[in-house]
Amino acid sequence: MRVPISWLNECLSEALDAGVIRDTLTRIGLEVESLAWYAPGLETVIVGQIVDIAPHPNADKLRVCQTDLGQGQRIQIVTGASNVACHDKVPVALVGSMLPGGKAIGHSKLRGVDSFGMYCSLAELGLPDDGAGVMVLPPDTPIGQPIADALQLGVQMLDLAVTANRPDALGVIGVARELVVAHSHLQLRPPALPRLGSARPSIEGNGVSPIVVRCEAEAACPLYGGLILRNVTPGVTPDWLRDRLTSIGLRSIHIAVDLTNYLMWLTGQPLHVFDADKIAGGSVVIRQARPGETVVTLDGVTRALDEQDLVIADCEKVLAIAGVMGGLTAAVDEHTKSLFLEAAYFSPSGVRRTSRRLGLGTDSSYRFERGVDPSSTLDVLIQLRDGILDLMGGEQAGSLLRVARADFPSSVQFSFGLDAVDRLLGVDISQEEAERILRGLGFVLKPQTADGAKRSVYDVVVPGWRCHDVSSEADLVEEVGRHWGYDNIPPVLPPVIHRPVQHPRMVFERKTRELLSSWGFREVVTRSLTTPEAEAMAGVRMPRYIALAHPLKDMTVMRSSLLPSLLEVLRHNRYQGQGNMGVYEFGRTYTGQSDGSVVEQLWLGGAWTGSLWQGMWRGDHAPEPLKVDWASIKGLVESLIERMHRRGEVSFEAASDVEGFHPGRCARIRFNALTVGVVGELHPQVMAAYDLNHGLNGAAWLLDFDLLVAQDERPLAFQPFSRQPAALRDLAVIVPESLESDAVLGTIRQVGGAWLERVSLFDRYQSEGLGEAKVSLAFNLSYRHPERTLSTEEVECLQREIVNALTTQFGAELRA
Amino acid sequence: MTHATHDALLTEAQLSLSATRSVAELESWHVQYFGREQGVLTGLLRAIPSLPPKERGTVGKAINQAKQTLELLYQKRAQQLQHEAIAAQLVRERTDVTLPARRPFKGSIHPVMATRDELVELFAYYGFTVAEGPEVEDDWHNFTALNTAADHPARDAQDTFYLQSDGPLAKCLLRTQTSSVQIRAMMAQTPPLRLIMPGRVYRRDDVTRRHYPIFHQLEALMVEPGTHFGHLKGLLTSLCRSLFGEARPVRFRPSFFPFTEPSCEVDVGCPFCAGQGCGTCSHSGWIELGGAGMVHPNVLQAVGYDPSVITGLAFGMGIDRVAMIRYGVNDIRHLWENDDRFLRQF
Repeated sequence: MRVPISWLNECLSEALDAGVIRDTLTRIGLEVESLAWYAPGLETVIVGQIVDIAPHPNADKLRVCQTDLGQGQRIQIVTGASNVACHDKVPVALVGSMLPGGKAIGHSKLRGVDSFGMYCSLAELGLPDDGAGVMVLPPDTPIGQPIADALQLGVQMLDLAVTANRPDALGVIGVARELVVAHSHLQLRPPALPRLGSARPSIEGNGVSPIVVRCEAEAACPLYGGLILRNVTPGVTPDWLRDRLTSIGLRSIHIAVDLTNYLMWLTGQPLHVFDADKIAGGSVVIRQARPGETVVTLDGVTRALDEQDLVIADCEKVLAIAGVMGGLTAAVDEHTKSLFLEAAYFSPSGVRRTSRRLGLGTDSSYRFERGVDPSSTLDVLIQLRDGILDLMGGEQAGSLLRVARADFPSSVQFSFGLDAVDRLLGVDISQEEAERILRGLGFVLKPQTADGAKRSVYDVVVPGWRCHDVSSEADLVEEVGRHWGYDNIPPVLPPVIHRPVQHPRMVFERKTRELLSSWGFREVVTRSLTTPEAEAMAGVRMPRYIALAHPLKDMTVMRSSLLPSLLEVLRHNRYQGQGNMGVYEFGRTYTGQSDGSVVEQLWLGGAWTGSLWQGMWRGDHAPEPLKVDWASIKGLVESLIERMHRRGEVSFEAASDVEGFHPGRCARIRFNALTVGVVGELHPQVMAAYDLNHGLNGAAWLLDFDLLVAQDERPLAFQPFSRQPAALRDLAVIVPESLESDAVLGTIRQVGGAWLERVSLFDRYQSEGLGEAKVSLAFNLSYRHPERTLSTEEVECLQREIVNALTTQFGAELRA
Repeated sequence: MTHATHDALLTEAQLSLSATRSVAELESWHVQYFGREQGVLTGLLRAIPSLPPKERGTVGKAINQAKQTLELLYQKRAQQLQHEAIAAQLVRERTDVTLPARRPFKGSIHPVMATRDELVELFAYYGFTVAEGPEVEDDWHNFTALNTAADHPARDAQDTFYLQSDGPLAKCLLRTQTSSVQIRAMMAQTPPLRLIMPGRVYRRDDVTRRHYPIFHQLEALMVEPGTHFGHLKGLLTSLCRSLFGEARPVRFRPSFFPFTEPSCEVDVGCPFCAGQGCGTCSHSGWIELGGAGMVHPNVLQAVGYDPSVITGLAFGMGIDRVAMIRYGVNDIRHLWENDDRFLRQF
């Protein structure tokens, strides 16, 4: 909502400073988006600085200038002006400007050189010319500032972001009313239209109305007022009215139309005028549109209507789309002799629906959608009549045509106790102040008889302009609170009543974040909306996606896996020259179930490409670069799960069927009897699909985080350890290559028993000499007794038993 | 053995000892003189029994003396050689320690998640616990129960992602606010309640510098007898001080939300221009942190609470926005692009 400061001040008994108005309105809940000088035609003229001037290659009188527009923006302008020099600050009309003199600025080529705007002279800005050529601004003018602000041209304009509940603030009077309550020394003085002094006709008028009004849609139009004026004479819109409209960015069209726009802006009530002679059959009907009906609206567009659209029609045709826009057929023009004036209350939802459906938002629909004041609708109609009679002459034909639902408008009333203010705001506001605020805003307060209550209780009647918004005690508390000042409510911390409890998963998330980050991984946040095609790139295919009814580009379904988006991150960074990178994300996946429900699951997913270490330069004694592989990522997952301190054992089970993973280098992660995720190297095809296959290795993991956290926590309790010496042995066996090392380790551990403290693989070796499909596995073993030193015999005996068991179970041979 | 031969032997041994240049040479010197089989001194000692008895004492003594002297010298030389060897090693191994390190990559925590964790932690101090709810939500929890009129523009398919379905998900949508979790929590629990609800929300916006169709919100809800607007100000002021520092101004501006009454917007001073006004704050000097208010009586009624007995406060803020204000990120797309050059800064 644009409100010129001068117009606002016209409604106040004493003018306020623009800055005071801005601060006040924001403080009481009418947010000021901007306060700026506004001059029609200069919207896209801004201050620029010439930073380079070069001669034009093909013209002696032209020069090619580079202009800095601030915020890193630079444009080239070819100018014929001779009075500008490098570093001068000048008004720059950007492409698309339509200057006050009517000059349009487009992208042009001047003798073969591009020019993207124009430097303006005083005359071109609509100011008295000084003949000096392009206007050169003072050196301290900020670059990029609109020229209207820099020179304080036009009018000072507020741009208000009015919230949806405040249609009353969509009229200048409504805004002024708020200022009057905020500054108690002021009074509201709505401006009167200039009058020519003739006597006002009563609303009864004279004679019988030549037109009848019928409403067939009471729900959508509970109140409709019409008036007919005859013998009006077209004339020129007076300057004051044209200036007012220009200042809010509207063009003068026709005196009657201009008056409707003026009154709408002033009061918030949209109005419409028809050429009464173009209304056929002497009747105006408010009804739903008929199937297949169309209307050409004032903007010249043919609009197809449906049966839920409300229209104003005569017996032949649609005259207007109710509350949205008039039609061309009954539009007023310079030949119009008779007028049909309309003021109505159209239901907000109906107007909103039609306006949305047609993609046609107007100043009128904007106000009807939010709800106009039904109690003043007909008053504004009378004001319009008076204004037209004043400016166009003529006389009223017949009486006011009023069609209203019997119960409309009903006033909103309820009981309100001041203790609600104390209770909700936590402050003690005096009765006088509360009453002053509420009465100033138009609420009628009738004190109820005192029944011993500590605070007064009232019967409240809500004014028509707030009937859409205020219906309960809490609403009035807000009115009192915002005018008393939120700033004046002291901040209080609530008392401690709960033992603070940490959310277990959040705690683990936080720990895991720290852990993975200290291991060199970067946390990422990726989109949970994707496309089936994007998922298929990573080999992920879902039978049932959660799909959006109105998708956006690249966002058609909910993701079913974190893997594709993690790989997208790696691809993006590889393209930026960062091929060595590990990333992880905590994110949900969304899968449709056969019963129609949705399962949302929190995963910790990670993906890793390139080398394990940073700084793998080559040189004397530098080790070979270690590349990401299944073992490194498996280790990461093991450590991670161990750090989570759950009760149970983690193990890995070969998995050749996991989407996106290398079928021979992938494992399901098992925790106790549960599968909690997968880990492994990426499928070469997937690596290629994401353009990651250029000498990089890639691996990934996906962990069902909620499931893991849900496992019982392992209590942390100290276990004493033996201080006896350990007996260290090596053991190398030749086993079939197909045998899983885990099985060998399992047997060793089982046979080694309690004295075998630790066993670890230190060498895996394959050669033809070992025999067909054989592999040698070498282990370090450490034996230790809790209380005494183990004898050599005891250790050797265990070693022999282990070898025997391996031989029996797996056909292993001891390697010499 | 005569004194002369004895002296000559000693001199010769000393000379050859000092001529040793390595541990290996030293060891072969030691074998030459002390070796059990061929050692010169061993040989001399072994020859003693063949000497005349009265010479045996003197000769034996002399040899042992020589042995002791040489042993001492040997050890000295060994030490010396070791020192020399280490010194040589040190010279040999000297390197350019300004060469780049080999190290684990420096990891990082995403600023949005770091901010979320921090918010969760800050609220925990005031007794707020985490509650969560589904992102695929139904119309009732997301709108109706939150006092949003049936024809409210926020419900429009232009602004809300509805699901494509003619089955059970037909009226379902991607939640547009974490406030839906409020409803679920209030229906599942009884007051007193202090909850925070972080999570992803969705709005059908085009991707721009300031908008992304997916973002993170944090909703806080406190429903207890005696809760009032002063508590809201107290909590939020304290929170902003913790997040943005003591000096950052905070303001509470009346506003409108269907699910709170009275309502306000919470603004903090713009970090990009120190409140002077810039493009990021639309020249207002303030940046919106989120919306807040006292829980609307209709909402309390919808979940079965009696608004005449109990009051509540609620506020919601964009976590992404908080992170952007804190770290001075001026384009929301950075948060989703995950470029290494962005991530490495956190």
